[in-house]
Amino acid sequence: MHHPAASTRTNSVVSPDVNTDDGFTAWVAPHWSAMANLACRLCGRSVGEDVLQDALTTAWRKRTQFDAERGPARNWLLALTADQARKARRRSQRQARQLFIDEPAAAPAHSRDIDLDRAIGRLSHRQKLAVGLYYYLGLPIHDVANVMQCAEGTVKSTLADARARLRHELGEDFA
Amino acid sequence: MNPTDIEDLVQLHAQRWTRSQPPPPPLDVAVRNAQLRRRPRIDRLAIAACVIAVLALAAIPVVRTFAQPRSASRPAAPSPQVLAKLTQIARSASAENGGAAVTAEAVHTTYLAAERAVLNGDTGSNPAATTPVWVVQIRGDFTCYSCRGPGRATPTGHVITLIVIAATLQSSDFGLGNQPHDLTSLGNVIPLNP
Repeated sequence: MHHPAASTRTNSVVSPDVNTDDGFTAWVAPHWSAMANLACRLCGRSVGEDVLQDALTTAWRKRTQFDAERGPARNWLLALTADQARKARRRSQRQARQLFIDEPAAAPAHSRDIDLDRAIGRLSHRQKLAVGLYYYLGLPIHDVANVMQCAEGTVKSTLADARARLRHELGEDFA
Repeated sequence: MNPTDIEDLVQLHAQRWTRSQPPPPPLDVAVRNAQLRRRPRIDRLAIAACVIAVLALAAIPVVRTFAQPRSASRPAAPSPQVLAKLTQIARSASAENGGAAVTAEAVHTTYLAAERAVLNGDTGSNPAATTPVWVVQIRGDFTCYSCRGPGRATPTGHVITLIVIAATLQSSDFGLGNQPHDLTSLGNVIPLNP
């Protein structure tokens, strides 16, 4: 398993004063796109915008609880985003799923992308989260484990299960 | 399909997807929204506090109603018809029990209070606890002939106690003993003229 070449990583940027508007904004800014992409991957575009805002609201409210020793700010913010996505899916699971299926995160270039999007949409939340973090956001396994708050081996097995599920879902269409 | 194929497919899709993503919403606007979004939480708490306060204020009359002495719930004064009926009930009870009433008095209260005060607990009668009743106490020398039974003496006593349902003026409970009860604990005692 190799890491996606398209990954772009940003190191944690800890503002000395996250209690001010500007300080907090500067602290979140390097990770804002990653948060948006993860929210969009997990819940679709329209729901994802609400999830993104909820995650930022939570981050603002809990900003003093961030502990840099437990991981970089990006992982903490992505974990908040994933948690808000999970809550959003609980609130309206059927609706969220329908939105994801009906509204792929990006306009696919061809039918194979549509199939893949739908297949990913049928993964479990944790599988989808692992796939989103690893393949779409380009996080290394270590950081994916940090966001998901589990062991690296668990991430690897979750990704393996997700790939197996995708193979099964795509089946002959992909071949 | 081998594992590499699916991985390549996902990676390729991820690259295309990432490139096609629109820029996220402006962060500064989102931060302002995040700070503003705390207000509804405060508002909800304020609304909840207001609702609790209103309910508490609304409950005060109810609490006062339940907390006030039982005697306060009685009518200011029984009507002449009620007095006449209670007097008739006292006379009938005296006559049926072989005596003549020397004195009789009545007090308005609830069934539960009456049951506790003059009938020593459960009597087997089951009006609701809050049912308004009259307690009628008659003094004299009485013998309960209807209480006779094989192998037991006929009960006698000096005090007949009746519970009369206020709404129907029908007697629901009867007691015969020797010691009068202090009806003033139940409310304003009204003398009858048996």
